[in-house]
Amino acid sequence: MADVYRAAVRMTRDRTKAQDVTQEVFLQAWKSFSRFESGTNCKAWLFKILFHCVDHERRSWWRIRLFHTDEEFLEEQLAAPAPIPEHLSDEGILAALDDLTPEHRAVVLLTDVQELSYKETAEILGLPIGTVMSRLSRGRAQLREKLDGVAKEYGIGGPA
Amino acid sequence: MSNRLRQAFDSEPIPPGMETRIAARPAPRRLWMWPAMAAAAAGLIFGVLYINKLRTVDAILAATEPALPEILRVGLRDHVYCAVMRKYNSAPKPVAKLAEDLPAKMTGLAEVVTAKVPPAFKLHVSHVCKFKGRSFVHLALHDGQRLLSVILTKRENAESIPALLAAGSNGYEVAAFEKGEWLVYIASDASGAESRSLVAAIAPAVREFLDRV
Repeated sequence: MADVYRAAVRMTRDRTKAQDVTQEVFLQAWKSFSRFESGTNCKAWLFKILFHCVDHERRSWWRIRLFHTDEEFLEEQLAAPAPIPEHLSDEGILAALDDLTPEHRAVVLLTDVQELSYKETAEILGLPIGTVMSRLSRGRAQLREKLDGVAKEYGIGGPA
Repeated sequence: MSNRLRQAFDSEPIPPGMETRIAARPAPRRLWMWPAMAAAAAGLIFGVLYINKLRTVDAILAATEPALPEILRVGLRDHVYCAVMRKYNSAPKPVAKLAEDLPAKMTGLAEVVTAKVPPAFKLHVSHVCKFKGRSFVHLALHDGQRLLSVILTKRENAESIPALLAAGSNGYEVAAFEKGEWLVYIASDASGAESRSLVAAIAPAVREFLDRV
Protein backbone atom coordinates (compact mmCIF):
# COMPACT_ATOMS: atom_id res chain seq x y z
CA MET A 1 0.00 0.00 0.00
CA ALA A 2 2.84 2.38 0.85
CA ASP A 3 4.36 2.09 -2.62
CA VAL A 4 1.02 2.68 -4.27
CA TYR A 5 0.35 5.75 -2.13
CA ARG A 6 3.84 7.13 -2.66
CA ALA A 7 3.62 6.63 -6.40
CA ALA A 8 0.20 8.29 -6.35
CA VAL A 9 1.71 11.28 -4.54
CA ARG A 10 4.44 11.54 -7.15
CA MET A 11 2.01 11.24 -10.03
CA THR A 12 -0.71 13.53 -8.73
CA ARG A 13 1.61 15.86 -6.79
CA ASP A 14 -1.26 16.22 -4.36
CA ARG A 15 -1.37 14.21 -1.13
CA THR A 16 -5.12 14.46 -0.67
CA LYS A 17 -5.77 13.36 -4.21
CA ALA A 18 -3.17 10.63 -3.77
CA GLN A 19 -5.08 9.25 -0.77
CA ASP A 20 -8.29 9.15 -2.80
CA VAL A 21 -6.52 7.50 -5.71
CA THR A 22 -4.93 4.91 -3.39
CA GLN A 23 -8.29 4.08 -1.89
CA GLU A 24 -9.74 3.78 -5.36
CA VAL A 25 -6.89 1.48 -6.42
CA PHE A 26 -7.52 -0.95 -3.60
CA LEU A 27 -11.24 -0.76 -4.11
CA GLN A 28 -10.85 -1.55 -7.81
CA ALA A 29 -8.37 -4.30 -6.97
CA TRP A 30 -10.83 -5.80 -4.53
CA LYS A 31 -13.66 -5.60 -7.05
CA SER A 32 -11.68 -7.04 -9.91
CA PHE A 33 -9.58 -9.51 -7.97
CA SER A 34 -11.04 -12.35 -10.01
CA ARG A 35 -9.19 -10.91 -13.01
CA PHE A 36 -5.80 -11.09 -11.33
CA GLU A 37 -3.81 -13.95 -12.80
CA SER A 38 -2.14 -15.83 -9.99
CA GLY A 39 1.55 -16.29 -10.60
CA THR A 40 1.89 -12.85 -12.19
CA ASN A 41 3.35 -9.81 -10.49
CA CYS A 42 0.76 -8.50 -8.04
CA LYS A 43 2.65 -5.23 -7.65
CA ALA A 44 2.58 -4.65 -11.40
CA TRP A 45 -1.14 -5.40 -11.38
CA LEU A 46 -1.73 -2.86 -8.61
CA PHE A 47 0.33 -0.28 -10.45
CA LYS A 48 -1.65 -0.90 -13.59
CA ILE A 49 -4.79 -0.09 -11.64
CA LEU A 50 -3.06 2.91 -10.10
CA PHE A 51 -2.07 4.36 -13.43
CA HIS A 52 -5.51 3.68 -14.78
CA CYS A 53 -6.95 5.66 -11.86
CA VAL A 54 -4.44 8.47 -12.32
CA ASP A 55 -5.11 8.43 -16.03
CA HIS A 56 -8.78 8.69 -15.29
CA GLU A 57 -8.00 11.72 -13.13
CA ARG A 58 -5.90 13.44 -15.72
CA ARG A 59 -6.98 11.95 -18.99
CA SER A 60 -4.87 12.68 -22.00
CA TRP A 61 -1.24 12.93 -21.18
CA TRP A 62 -0.56 9.21 -21.45
CA ARG A 63 -1.66 9.27 -25.00
CA ILE A 64 1.08 11.64 -26.05
CA ARG A 65 3.59 9.78 -28.16
CA LEU A 66 6.74 11.78 -27.95
CA PHE A 67 9.37 10.12 -30.06
CA HIS A 68 10.63 6.84 -31.36
CA THR A 69 14.29 5.96 -31.05
CA ASP A 70 16.43 3.02 -31.94
CA GLU A 71 15.96 0.49 -29.14
CA GLU A 72 19.54 -0.85 -29.14
CA PHE A 73 20.91 2.64 -28.74
CA LEU A 74 18.48 3.17 -25.90
CA GLU A 75 19.51 -0.08 -24.20
CA GLU A 76 23.07 1.24 -24.14
CA GLN A 77 21.99 4.56 -22.79
CA LEU A 78 19.80 2.93 -20.18
CA ALA A 79 22.42 0.50 -18.98
CA ALA A 80 24.25 2.90 -16.75
CA PRO A 81 22.21 5.58 -15.09
CA ALA A 82 24.35 8.28 -13.56
CA PRO A 83 24.63 8.16 -9.78
CA ILE A 84 22.87 10.74 -7.67
CA PRO A 85 25.09 12.48 -5.15
CA GLU A 86 24.44 10.94 -1.71
CA HIS A 87 24.42 14.33 -0.03
CA LEU A 88 21.34 15.57 -1.88
CA SER A 89 18.29 15.66 0.34
CA ASP A 90 15.28 13.42 -0.24
CA GLU A 91 13.15 16.52 -0.73
CA GLY A 92 15.49 17.79 -3.42
CA ILE A 93 15.40 14.48 -5.26
CA LEU A 94 11.63 14.20 -5.00
CA ALA A 95 11.23 17.79 -6.16
CA ALA A 96 13.36 17.01 -9.21
CA LEU A 97 11.34 13.85 -9.84
CA ASP A 98 8.07 15.76 -9.50
CA ASP A 99 9.38 18.28 -11.98
CA LEU A 100 9.60 15.72 -14.77
CA THR A 101 6.79 15.64 -17.30
CA PRO A 102 4.11 13.16 -16.19
CA GLU A 103 4.91 10.63 -18.93
CA HIS A 104 8.62 10.60 -18.06
CA ARG A 105 7.93 10.59 -14.33
CA ALA A 106 5.67 7.56 -14.71
CA VAL A 107 8.34 5.56 -16.51
CA VAL A 108 11.09 6.53 -14.06
CA LEU A 109 8.85 5.66 -11.12
CA LEU A 110 7.98 2.25 -12.47
CA THR A 111 11.36 1.17 -13.78
CA ASP A 112 13.90 2.91 -11.55
CA VAL A 113 11.96 3.18 -8.30
CA GLN A 114 9.65 0.17 -8.43
CA GLU A 115 12.14 -1.82 -10.44
CA LEU A 116 9.55 -3.25 -12.74
CA SER A 117 10.64 -4.65 -16.08
CA TYR A 118 10.27 -2.69 -19.32
CA LYS A 119 7.62 -5.16 -20.32
CA GLU A 120 5.64 -4.68 -17.13
CA THR A 121 6.02 -0.91 -17.39
CA ALA A 122 4.91 -1.02 -21.00
CA GLU A 123 1.86 -3.08 -20.06
CA ILE A 124 0.96 -0.81 -17.15
CA LEU A 125 1.18 2.33 -19.24
CA GLY A 126 -0.20 0.78 -22.40
CA LEU A 127 2.91 1.75 -24.38
CA PRO A 128 5.28 -0.10 -26.69
CA ILE A 129 8.52 -1.20 -24.98
CA GLY A 130 10.51 1.10 -27.28
CA THR A 131 8.54 4.07 -26.06
CA VAL A 132 9.13 3.03 -22.44
CA MET A 133 12.85 2.90 -23.11
CA SER A 134 12.96 6.22 -24.88
CA ARG A 135 10.94 7.86 -22.14
CA LEU A 136 13.16 6.35 -19.49
CA SER A 137 16.25 7.60 -21.29
CA ARG A 138 14.80 11.06 -21.63
CA GLY A 139 13.41 10.99 -18.07
CA ARG A 140 16.74 10.06 -16.56
CA ALA A 141 18.47 12.75 -18.59
CA GLN A 142 15.96 15.33 -17.40
CA LEU A 143 16.34 14.10 -13.84
CA ARG A 144 20.12 14.39 -13.99
CA GLU A 145 19.85 17.94 -15.27
CA LYS A 146 17.43 18.87 -12.55
CA LEU A 147 19.51 17.20 -9.86
CA ASP A 148 22.58 19.07 -11.09
CA GLY A 149 20.57 22.22 -10.67
CA VAL A 150 19.50 21.19 -7.17
CA ALA A 151 23.06 20.28 -6.30
CA LYS A 152 24.30 23.65 -7.47
CA GLU A 153 21.62 25.36 -5.43
CA TYR A 154 23.00 23.54 -2.39
CA GLY A 155 26.52 24.45 -3.42
CA ILE A 156 27.35 20.83 -4.30
CA GLY A 157 29.33 19.80 -7.38
CA GLY A 158 29.04 21.96 -10.50
CA PRO A 159 31.88 23.17 -12.65
CA ALA A 160 35.15 23.37 -10.85
CA MET B 1 20.60 6.36 -9.13
CA SER B 2 17.89 3.81 -8.63
CA ASN B 3 18.78 3.19 -4.99
CA ARG B 4 18.94 6.86 -4.15
CA LEU B 5 15.68 7.51 -5.95
CA ARG B 6 14.10 4.65 -4.05
CA GLN B 7 15.43 6.01 -0.78
CA ALA B 8 13.97 9.42 -1.50
CA PHE B 9 10.73 7.85 -2.69
CA ASP B 10 10.42 5.92 0.59
CA SER B 11 10.85 9.11 2.59
CA GLU B 12 7.32 10.16 1.71
CA PRO B 13 5.38 9.64 4.96
CA ILE B 14 2.24 7.53 4.88
CA PRO B 15 -0.74 9.39 6.37
CA PRO B 16 -1.64 7.87 9.72
CA GLY B 17 -4.64 5.56 9.64
CA MET B 18 -4.76 5.33 5.87
CA GLU B 19 -4.47 1.58 5.86
CA THR B 20 -7.37 1.32 8.31
CA ARG B 21 -9.43 3.71 6.21
CA ILE B 22 -8.80 1.69 3.07
CA ALA B 23 -9.68 -1.54 4.82
CA ALA B 24 -12.81 -0.04 6.33
CA ARG B 25 -14.01 1.89 3.31
CA PRO B 26 -17.24 0.44 1.98
CA ALA B 27 -17.63 0.01 -1.73
CA PRO B 28 -18.79 3.34 -3.14
CA ARG B 29 -22.34 3.09 -4.17
CA ARG B 30 -22.97 4.16 -7.69
CA LEU B 31 -25.79 6.41 -6.66
CA TRP B 32 -26.88 7.09 -10.21
CA MET B 33 -27.47 3.38 -10.68
CA TRP B 34 -30.21 3.11 -8.10
CA PRO B 35 -32.65 5.54 -9.73
CA ALA B 36 -31.86 3.99 -13.10
CA MET B 37 -32.43 0.49 -11.76
CA ALA B 38 -35.59 1.58 -9.97
CA ALA B 39 -36.86 3.22 -13.16
CA ALA B 40 -36.04 0.10 -15.17
CA ALA B 41 -37.75 -2.10 -12.59
CA ALA B 42 -40.79 0.20 -12.49
CA GLY B 43 -40.88 0.21 -16.30
CA LEU B 44 -40.74 -3.57 -16.32
CA ILE B 45 -43.48 -3.86 -13.72
CA PHE B 46 -45.72 -1.36 -15.53
CA GLY B 47 -44.99 -3.11 -18.81
CA VAL B 48 -45.99 -6.48 -17.39
CA LEU B 49 -49.09 -4.98 -15.77
CA TYR B 50 -50.05 -3.22 -19.00
CA ILE B 51 -49.64 -6.39 -21.05
CA ASN B 52 -51.66 -8.24 -18.43
CA LYS B 53 -54.35 -5.59 -18.60
CA LEU B 54 -54.53 -5.82 -22.39
CA ARG B 55 -54.82 -9.59 -22.16
CA THR B 56 -57.69 -9.27 -19.69
CA VAL B 57 -59.40 -6.67 -21.88
CA ASP B 58 -59.00 -8.94 -24.89
CA ALA B 59 -60.41 -11.88 -22.95
CA ILE B 60 -63.48 -9.90 -21.82
CA LEU B 61 -64.03 -8.51 -25.30
CA ALA B 62 -63.62 -11.92 -26.89
CA ALA B 63 -66.35 -13.27 -24.63
CA THR B 64 -68.65 -10.28 -25.06
CA GLU B 65 -68.31 -8.85 -28.54
CA PRO B 66 -69.57 -11.69 -30.72
CA ALA B 67 -73.14 -11.23 -29.47
CA LEU B 68 -73.12 -7.47 -30.12
CA PRO B 69 -73.52 -5.52 -33.35
CA GLU B 70 -70.22 -4.11 -34.61
CA ILE B 71 -71.22 -0.52 -33.93
CA LEU B 72 -71.88 -1.25 -30.24
CA ARG B 73 -68.47 -2.87 -29.84
CA VAL B 74 -66.81 0.50 -30.33
CA GLY B 75 -68.18 1.87 -27.06
CA LEU B 76 -67.89 -1.45 -25.24
CA ARG B 77 -64.16 -1.61 -25.97
CA ASP B 78 -63.46 1.72 -24.29
CA HIS B 79 -65.77 0.88 -21.39
CA VAL B 80 -63.88 -2.36 -20.70
CA TYR B 81 -60.42 -0.91 -21.33
CA CYS B 82 -60.84 2.32 -19.38
CA ALA B 83 -63.64 1.79 -16.86
CA VAL B 84 -63.78 -1.93 -16.06
CA MET B 85 -59.99 -2.24 -15.73
CA ARG B 86 -59.78 0.41 -13.03
CA LYS B 87 -59.92 0.58 -9.26
CA TYR B 88 -62.45 2.90 -7.67
CA ASN B 89 -62.08 4.57 -4.31
CA SER B 90 -64.94 5.64 -2.13
CA ALA B 91 -64.20 9.35 -2.25
CA PRO B 92 -63.91 10.64 -5.78
CA LYS B 93 -63.00 14.25 -6.51
CA PRO B 94 -65.80 16.81 -6.90
CA VAL B 95 -67.54 16.76 -10.29
CA ALA B 96 -66.36 20.26 -11.18
CA LYS B 97 -62.76 19.24 -10.49
CA LEU B 98 -63.07 16.06 -12.57
CA ALA B 99 -64.68 18.01 -15.40
CA GLU B 100 -61.50 20.06 -15.74
CA ASP B 101 -59.96 17.11 -17.57
CA LEU B 102 -62.55 17.30 -20.33
CA PRO B 103 -62.12 19.39 -23.46
CA ALA B 104 -63.41 22.91 -22.78
CA LYS B 105 -66.56 22.54 -24.84
CA MET B 106 -67.39 19.25 -23.07
CA THR B 107 -66.92 20.49 -19.50
CA GLY B 108 -70.67 20.78 -18.92
CA LEU B 109 -71.23 17.14 -19.83
CA ALA B 110 -70.12 15.98 -16.40
CA GLU B 111 -72.84 18.02 -14.66
CA VAL B 112 -75.46 16.98 -17.21
CA VAL B 113 -74.81 13.27 -16.73
CA THR B 114 -74.44 13.30 -12.94
CA ALA B 115 -77.72 15.20 -12.65
CA LYS B 116 -79.55 12.41 -14.46
CA VAL B 117 -78.23 9.30 -12.73
CA PRO B 118 -79.38 7.97 -9.34
CA PRO B 119 -77.54 9.80 -6.52
CA ALA B 120 -75.61 6.65 -5.57
CA PHE B 121 -73.68 6.89 -8.81
CA LYS B 122 -70.63 9.09 -8.32
CA LEU B 123 -68.50 10.41 -11.09
CA HIS B 124 -65.00 8.94 -10.84
CA VAL B 125 -63.54 9.48 -14.28
CA SER B 126 -64.02 12.34 -16.65
CA HIS B 127 -61.43 12.60 -19.36
CA VAL B 128 -60.42 11.94 -22.94
CA CYS B 129 -58.92 8.50 -23.47
CA LYS B 130 -57.62 6.52 -26.39
CA PHE B 131 -58.00 2.89 -27.21
CA LYS B 132 -56.54 1.31 -30.31
CA GLY B 133 -55.98 4.71 -31.89
CA ARG B 134 -59.51 6.03 -31.34
CA SER B 135 -60.27 8.92 -28.98
CA PHE B 136 -63.17 8.91 -26.57
CA VAL B 137 -64.70 11.44 -24.24
CA HIS B 138 -65.34 9.23 -21.28
CA LEU B 139 -67.29 9.64 -18.06
CA ALA B 140 -67.25 6.70 -15.67
CA LEU B 141 -69.61 6.52 -12.70
CA HIS B 142 -69.70 3.98 -9.92
CA ASP B 143 -72.20 3.34 -7.14
CA GLY B 144 -70.08 0.92 -5.17
CA GLN B 145 -71.38 -2.08 -7.08
CA ARG B 146 -72.34 -1.10 -10.58
CA LEU B 147 -70.33 0.66 -13.18
CA LEU B 148 -71.66 3.05 -15.78
CA SER B 149 -69.86 4.73 -18.66
CA VAL B 150 -71.04 7.52 -20.89
CA ILE B 151 -68.77 7.54 -23.89
CA LEU B 152 -68.66 9.88 -26.86
CA THR B 153 -66.57 9.36 -29.93
CA LYS B 154 -66.53 11.06 -33.28
CA ARG B 155 -68.14 9.20 -36.13
CA GLU B 156 -65.64 7.49 -38.39
CA ASN B 157 -66.11 6.39 -42.02
CA ALA B 158 -69.63 5.23 -42.64
CA GLU B 159 -70.55 4.61 -39.01
CA SER B 160 -74.16 5.34 -38.32
CA ILE B 161 -76.78 4.58 -35.66
CA PRO B 162 -80.09 5.65 -37.15
CA ALA B 163 -82.08 4.88 -33.98
CA LEU B 164 -81.28 4.08 -30.36
CA LEU B 165 -79.60 0.72 -30.38
CA ALA B 166 -79.15 -1.47 -27.28
CA ALA B 167 -77.93 -4.98 -26.59
CA GLY B 168 -76.47 -7.03 -23.79
CA SER B 169 -73.84 -9.71 -23.64
CA ASN B 170 -71.76 -11.42 -20.98
CA GLY B 171 -73.15 -9.17 -18.21
CA TYR B 172 -72.55 -5.94 -20.13
CA GLU B 173 -75.33 -3.71 -21.45
CA VAL B 174 -74.53 -1.25 -24.21
CA ALA B 175 -76.81 1.35 -25.73
CA ALA B 176 -75.85 3.78 -28.45
CA PHE B 177 -77.21 6.63 -30.50
CA GLU B 178 -75.79 9.31 -32.71
CA LYS B 179 -75.99 13.04 -32.49
CA GLY B 180 -74.35 15.14 -35.18
CA GLU B 181 -70.75 14.11 -35.58
CA TRP B 182 -70.87 12.12 -32.32
CA LEU B 183 -71.63 8.53 -31.49
CA VAL B 184 -72.81 8.28 -27.88
CA TYR B 185 -72.56 5.08 -25.84
CA ILE B 186 -74.00 4.22 -22.48
CA ALA B 187 -72.40 1.05 -21.20
CA SER B 188 -72.89 -0.60 -17.83
CA ASP B 189 -72.90 -3.83 -15.91
CA ALA B 190 -76.35 -3.03 -14.55
CA SER B 191 -79.15 -5.44 -15.30
CA GLY B 192 -81.13 -5.04 -18.53
CA ALA B 193 -84.02 -3.16 -16.87
CA GLU B 194 -81.76 -0.91 -14.83
CA SER B 195 -79.71 -0.21 -17.87
CA ARG B 196 -82.76 0.75 -19.91
CA SER B 197 -83.86 3.19 -17.23
CA LEU B 198 -80.36 4.69 -17.06
CA VAL B 199 -80.31 5.12 -20.82
CA ALA B 200 -83.77 6.65 -20.75
CA ALA B 201 -82.60 9.21 -18.22
CA ILE B 202 -79.22 10.01 -19.70
CA ALA B 203 -79.74 9.88 -23.47
CA PRO B 204 -82.13 12.89 -23.84
CA ALA B 205 -79.96 15.06 -21.60
CA VAL B 206 -76.82 14.22 -23.55
CA ARG B 207 -78.60 14.84 -26.88
CA GLU B 208 -79.69 18.22 -25.58
CA PHE B 209 -76.17 18.97 -24.39
CA LEU B 210 -74.67 18.07 -27.77
CA ASP B 211 -77.20 20.32 -29.45
CA ARG B 212 -75.65 23.22 -27.56
CA VAL B 213 -72.02 22.28 -28.23
